[in-house]
Amino acid sequence: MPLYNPPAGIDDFSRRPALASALRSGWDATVRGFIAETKDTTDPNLIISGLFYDQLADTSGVPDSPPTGIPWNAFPQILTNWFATQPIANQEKLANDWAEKTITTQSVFGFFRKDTGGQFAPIPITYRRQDEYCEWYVVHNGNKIERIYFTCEPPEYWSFLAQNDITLVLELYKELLHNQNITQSDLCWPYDVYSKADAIGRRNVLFKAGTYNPWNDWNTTKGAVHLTHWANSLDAEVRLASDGSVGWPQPVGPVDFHRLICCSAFGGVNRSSDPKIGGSVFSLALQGLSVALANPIGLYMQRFQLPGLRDPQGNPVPNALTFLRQSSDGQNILRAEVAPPAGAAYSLDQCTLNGEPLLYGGQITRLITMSLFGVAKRIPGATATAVAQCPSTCCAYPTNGQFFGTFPNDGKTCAQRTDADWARNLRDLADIQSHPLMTQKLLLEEHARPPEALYKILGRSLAF
Amino acid sequence: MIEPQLEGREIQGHSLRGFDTQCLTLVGLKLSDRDRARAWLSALSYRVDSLESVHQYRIIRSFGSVRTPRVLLNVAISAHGLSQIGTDVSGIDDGLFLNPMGFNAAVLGDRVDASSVPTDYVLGTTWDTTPDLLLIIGGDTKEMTDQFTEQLRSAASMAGCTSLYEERGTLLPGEIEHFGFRDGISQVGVRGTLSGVADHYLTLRFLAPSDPNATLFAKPGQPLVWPGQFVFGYPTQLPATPLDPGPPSGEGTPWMRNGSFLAFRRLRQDVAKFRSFLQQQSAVLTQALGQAVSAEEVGTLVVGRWTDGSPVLLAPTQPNAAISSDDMLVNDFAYSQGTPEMAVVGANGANRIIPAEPDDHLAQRCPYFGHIRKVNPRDLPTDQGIPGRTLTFQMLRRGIPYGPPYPTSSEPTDRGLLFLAYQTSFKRQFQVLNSQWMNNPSAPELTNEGHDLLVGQNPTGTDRAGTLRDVQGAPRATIMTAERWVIPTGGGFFFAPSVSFLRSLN
Repeated sequence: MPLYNPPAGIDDFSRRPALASALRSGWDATVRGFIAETKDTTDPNLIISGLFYDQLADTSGVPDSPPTGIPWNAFPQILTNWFATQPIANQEKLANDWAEKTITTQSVFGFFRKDTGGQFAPIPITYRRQDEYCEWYVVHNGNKIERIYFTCEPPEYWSFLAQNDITLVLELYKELLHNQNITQSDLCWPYDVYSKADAIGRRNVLFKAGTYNPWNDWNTTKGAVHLTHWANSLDAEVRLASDGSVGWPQPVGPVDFHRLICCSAFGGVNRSSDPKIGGSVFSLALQGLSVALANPIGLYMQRFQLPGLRDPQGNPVPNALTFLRQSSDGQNILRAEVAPPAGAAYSLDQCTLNGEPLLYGGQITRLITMSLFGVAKRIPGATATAVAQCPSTCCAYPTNGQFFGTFPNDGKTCAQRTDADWARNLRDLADIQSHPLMTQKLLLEEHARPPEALYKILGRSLAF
Repeated sequence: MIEPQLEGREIQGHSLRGFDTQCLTLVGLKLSDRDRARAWLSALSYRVDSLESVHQYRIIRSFGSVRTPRVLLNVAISAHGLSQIGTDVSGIDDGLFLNPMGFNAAVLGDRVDASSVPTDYVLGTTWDTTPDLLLIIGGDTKEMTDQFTEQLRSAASMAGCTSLYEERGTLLPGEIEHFGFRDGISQVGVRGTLSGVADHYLTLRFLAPSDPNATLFAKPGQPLVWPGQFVFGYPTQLPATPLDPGPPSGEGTPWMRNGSFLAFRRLRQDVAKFRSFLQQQSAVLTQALGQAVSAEEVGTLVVGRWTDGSPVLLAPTQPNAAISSDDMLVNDFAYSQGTPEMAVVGANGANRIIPAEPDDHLAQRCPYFGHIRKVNPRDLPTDQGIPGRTLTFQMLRRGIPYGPPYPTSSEPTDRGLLFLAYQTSFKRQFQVLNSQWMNNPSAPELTNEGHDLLVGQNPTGTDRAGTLRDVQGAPRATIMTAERWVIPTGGGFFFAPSVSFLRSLN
């Protein structure tokens, strides 16, 4: 029976021959679990798509189409949109600058620990605001840029590895971050991690002390091994593909991707990725086609070259880009690293990229095309799950028509949206000072409210 | 919505209006004596044809053949040239402009050696081989053009300039390029007026004022774009709100006001190789699709238009002269949503209804890899975001063929296109279209959708390919090649300053 492979078919499991078989089947079960949860009939908030299927579990006998890839640009478009009304000369720099500033919040993820007095205290969590399923980390040494890591690996995979063999995770961290001094305790929670309290004050233990912490320092402030943004997960990819195949109420005719995501809110309206992915899936579903994510399910850097990188003397640097984790055919890249060649007497900040000083990882990210892959087919009897009314709607930000927020489709006009309504859409921009409408206090209060969908995902997929 | 008044006597005319002359000669000069060069450029400012001048020329010419032939002149300067005459370019944040084209040849997908030095360039590899000054001379006749060019050459010499490059482009009959396809059909319409009169627009408006699209399109298929995309100092295009003026381009560099960036690419065309490819792929597609596919049809798939210009989206089985000869129809298509019915003002003053046209979002008529679809996906969502973002990448193309029509008695012959395109950001316009889309087989629509097989380069050196897909996206047939028939042979990135900038050099 075929199994769902790790993203890009990456072969970490064979490092532990005794566990390899169990790891393979365990990961397969994990992926199937994500898919199964899109079919969870006990979830009252879930719209179960009649046209989303499990590629490996389908018994229709109808062959799948060859996998088709949906591309998007890796740079966070939310920042491009947010700064779109700034002076032209500043826009790119502002977006590049903020893209590399992590966000630290006490409770956007809704994690708590018990303090010495037995009281529950929110846990500060740091994540990257890079929300296009590609994240990067710039290794600085003072003002020098020593190297830049790029990753699109889902957190679930690493949590899965850690649950089964934390020493394997530690081994990979040391390799990928070129640091033999990383310790197991660096990667793990030092205390039990609790959920926020429910209506009657109960809390669940989400992570036991000593288990893997996906937001550990080596994956956030000191490095990047896998994705950290609250929306960057394999589960989100699966859910987006499922939601995209729902029969959302749309005008007859070709799909307007922006209108669709405003109606459905199946992802971030300001991203390059989610509208493109969901809209592409919906276009197939409109034809009555069932859709599935192709095995191995993953998010990939698809095209990534740096022919324009030059050293301080203006010479090309042909070996600066290394793909450390990728598919065997080299097409689907999970992890890349940019660094001067070994022994070079210069750092990356002294180099130029496409004729400009290399100051930010974002300059490179703008050149990366991301992809995911799906399959489609016509399954007899499968029909779209019809939704009568759009659950959501969009408004442009009052002082910036390039930035959108999504709101419940409750009949209110855009002018009636309050600052608090807007704050929910500005979670990842909370620390950017120049919100014309919003006080910092209001933003930070909103920032402290965990997004319900995220909380559910975390509670489900990360508490192994 | 009020469109900005363009400073018609300040902006050089080739950018926003285009010469569209029978001949266009490019003269590339190196400067050696700063003061003499400045004085000459200042003097030349009195001869440079402004937007107002070129606009008048184009209007007069549109009345017919009763006119006095003219020669038009514009001037562009490289970053190196600007430094030579004492202009500080350090405030310009554009790596293409700040370097010779050869420095970024690999970025552009051009063939390079192990040291990233372009192997096919005849100019622009280094600053030494890049003109400091590019004279753009448009003439109604070859004789006039040559005569004026000679005068300029002589004057340049007295100003201490040496000639580095000179090439004359000539319109081919039917305004085709050398492969035989009608060229230059699709251009965005630049917003802006030429005087204080509100409707004295630079770009003629054909849509009836009552048409709901009248504020978005100049005519069917010609969207209106804010002028800051092409000339510094004016409002730019905003992706989500096309009716709103965006922040002005060129803020912080006042000397750039009313100037434009000009990308010049010398593209050699190998017509024999292209035609051979079409013949070969005709057989490939005939076999793969189980139906006869002619070489002409392969070419149409590669370009997205038939040779007469009729778009394959509107004319899926054969060229359609009724479409290709009608300015209101020849560009009236959109891939994602199709086009709505539009009312245009007819010759007799009565409205003419242009019918709605269907979409082709599944690429069943114009394939994903079709040249015109790759470089301008129009209303499609792309890897770069919402459809409106595509307008922010567009340039004003002013290219013209060089070399004799194919074939001559002495083949192979150097022929091709002098690609000229105006914009205000090389990296956000030219480079996106060139590197992110044209040379990228996995954008803007689908992963592995294919290269632009007409013009696109494959920097990896592997085969270029394009795949025809069914409505589900499954491959039906793939055409591929290791050959190139458009060979970039160099060029440069220039700044075409305002008239007063030139004048101030005295």
